[in-house]
Amino acid sequence: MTATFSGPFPGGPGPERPGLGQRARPAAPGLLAQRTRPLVLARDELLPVASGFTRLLGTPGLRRGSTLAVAAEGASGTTAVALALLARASSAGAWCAAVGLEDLGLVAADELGVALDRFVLVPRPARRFSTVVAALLDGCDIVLAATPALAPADRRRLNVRARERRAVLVVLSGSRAAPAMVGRPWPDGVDVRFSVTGGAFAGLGSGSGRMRSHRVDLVATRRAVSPREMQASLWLPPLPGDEPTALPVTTEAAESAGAR
Amino acid sequence: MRTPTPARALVLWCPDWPVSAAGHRPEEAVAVVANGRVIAASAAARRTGVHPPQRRRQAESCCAGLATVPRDPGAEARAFEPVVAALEGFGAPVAVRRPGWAALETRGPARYFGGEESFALAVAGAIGAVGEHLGLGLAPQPGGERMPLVGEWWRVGIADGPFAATMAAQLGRIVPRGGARAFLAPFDVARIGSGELADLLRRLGITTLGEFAALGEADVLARFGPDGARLHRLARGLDGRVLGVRPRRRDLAVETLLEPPATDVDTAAFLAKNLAERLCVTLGAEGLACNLLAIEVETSTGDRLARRWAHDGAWTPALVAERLRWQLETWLTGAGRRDSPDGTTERTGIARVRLVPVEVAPDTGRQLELWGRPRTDDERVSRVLARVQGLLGPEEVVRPLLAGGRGPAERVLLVPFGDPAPTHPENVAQPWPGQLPCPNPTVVPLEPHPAEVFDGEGRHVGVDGRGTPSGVPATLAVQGQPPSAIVAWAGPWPIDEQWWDTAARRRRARLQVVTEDGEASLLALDRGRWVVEGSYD
Repeated sequence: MTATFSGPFPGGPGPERPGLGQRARPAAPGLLAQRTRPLVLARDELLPVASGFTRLLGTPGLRRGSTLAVAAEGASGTTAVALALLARASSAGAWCAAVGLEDLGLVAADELGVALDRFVLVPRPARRFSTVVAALLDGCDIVLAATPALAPADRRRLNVRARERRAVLVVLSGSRAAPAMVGRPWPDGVDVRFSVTGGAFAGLGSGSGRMRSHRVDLVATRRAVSPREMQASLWLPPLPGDEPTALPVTTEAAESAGAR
Repeated sequence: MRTPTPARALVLWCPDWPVSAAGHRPEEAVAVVANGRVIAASAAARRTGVHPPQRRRQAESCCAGLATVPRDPGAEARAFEPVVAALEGFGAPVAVRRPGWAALETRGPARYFGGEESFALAVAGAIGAVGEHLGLGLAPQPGGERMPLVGEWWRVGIADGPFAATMAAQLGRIVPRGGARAFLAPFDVARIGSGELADLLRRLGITTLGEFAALGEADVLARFGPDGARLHRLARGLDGRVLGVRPRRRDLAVETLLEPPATDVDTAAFLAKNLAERLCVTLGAEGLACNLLAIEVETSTGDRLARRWAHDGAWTPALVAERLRWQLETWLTGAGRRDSPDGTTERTGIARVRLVPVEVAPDTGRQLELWGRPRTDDERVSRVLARVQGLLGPEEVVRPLLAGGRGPAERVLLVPFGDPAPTHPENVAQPWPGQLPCPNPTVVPLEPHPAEVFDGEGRHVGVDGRGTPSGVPATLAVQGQPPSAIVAWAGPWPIDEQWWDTAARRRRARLQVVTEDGEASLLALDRGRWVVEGSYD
């Protein structure tokens, strides 16, 4: 378990820290003790995330220090999912960086809620990929990376760096925004892996309408949360009136998701 | 109340400095224009009736053949710098109010030159020499001249206090001590520098500075308030203002020569650490903190590699050495290794390292939060991004800005991090008819892939001038991939951009398609060819 020395009012309201949002009220002694506690566990530090992802992640936000992976499994939508993952944190003030995503559609990023004034792009890290990502993890809150084939030791080093620096590393594989040789899978050290298994597009007819939204079917594989696998369908950007629900992966749930 | 006697001041006044700075001689009819109004005019232009703040059109009608140049404040300041440097050569601190106006206290140098007159002549000679060197005008001929303190483009005067000295400079005169009031008396009251007060005084029947000075001090204070009283003192020749002098800055840069040139980073970094220690000691002795440090490296082949590093002021030798190491690493491993014509790879060494504090400010210390977190995150981010820029080059770390446009690629500008953003807010806010509505494709290739769209009978689908497709799109073949069937499509939306300009005119048609393999693309037809402009990934 990683412990981080941090300020008395850390990241976001965690589940174990009730009353954190009510700072105006006179503090009870117990609460005061909790607030002035200098030691904050890294898992308590959360970055806000869109509501559709909370059930999939198993935490109310993106846990600082974690590594997430977004992978395409025979369907498109990886890039949109990755952008939607960091959108809420970005608009709440987090700095985000994208590495190796040369062809990222930045208008789409803006539409999905990413604050472009706190977004930097390192489009071509070339052979210095690990150095660049390690450096960015030092300063940015979320680093989105399409990685080339890396040695397992390098991958582990980046996982550790993210944990040390309380940043979130999001690894993309199969994104089309990255050139073909990068965007390799990241087999180990991943806390939550999102697999894009299917999807559909709304709004297009045959010669009529226009693109409205993209449904992405996701399966989240969690390392430390039970149940291990959850699935959900998200509309990106969200359709009005759509309430995303996540279900544990069973054959029955899979069928109902397919029928939708 | 005893009033302090004003300090004797020498003023150098260049009447039409914007014209001189633009490289024009007074005998050319030239006007410097900003926002459609004349800012300054050359002597020749003024003789024909051109005067600021005339409108440009009015000025042009006054003076046939008037050349107008746009104003460049930066160039004005730069051109004035050698003049100020020449004045600084006299040893007294120089105050510069704006390019074209400089003052210095005469006390010390006048004594050295044996009197104010000879000092003024020495200044005139120095300024004339600078002007000749810069090509602004001829140096004054020694002797036999009626007004030795008036040059082609400059005037010098000495009087009590900068206000009277400015007036004296306009006439090229030396006003004796205590004579400021009498000297100022005949001048028009408008010279006081406050248009509002001058206007009011004129309506009260007071037209000269002498008449204004004759009013009682208490009455002026009661009627015109503290500002009026201050101007009243100026009119009485009691300009007690201290010259806001430009502090002379020591050259804080430190450098070291490497002999023989270092070819590996470690040697250079080790030397840099010593150099950084020297810099920190120098800065500490001056009580300064450096916010922006330039590290300049010169190679044995004479190439120069300079990069600026920002930090919140607390530079330590280790921090400087670290940044130098980053900079050198990149350079020694990347750009420094160049291919010589015969194909072999040769390395050049580092011959000289120089550290220049670019932005310094008084060291106020650095306040950390109680638990040791730095004050703002943005500083940390910019530091880290500077490091990545050191590794990859400044243009490889970019931040996106939204710009006006219709297609997803046109709407994004990529600016190297740290560069000032071009300002296009009005373009973003303006309506762009035909703009692709939300959602835009999440993948926008830099080089759109060529594609082909066929209808059910295998014919190419085109779009006519009215925006109607020639057939129903049935299959999409992206270059290098087998064709796949289109299951849904929308469009085409024709766009006719810049139709008023035959060279830049662009006609396009956009189409959104979903293929059977579950992929959606944004296609554009440009000059009869389809390209994949973006995909929804």
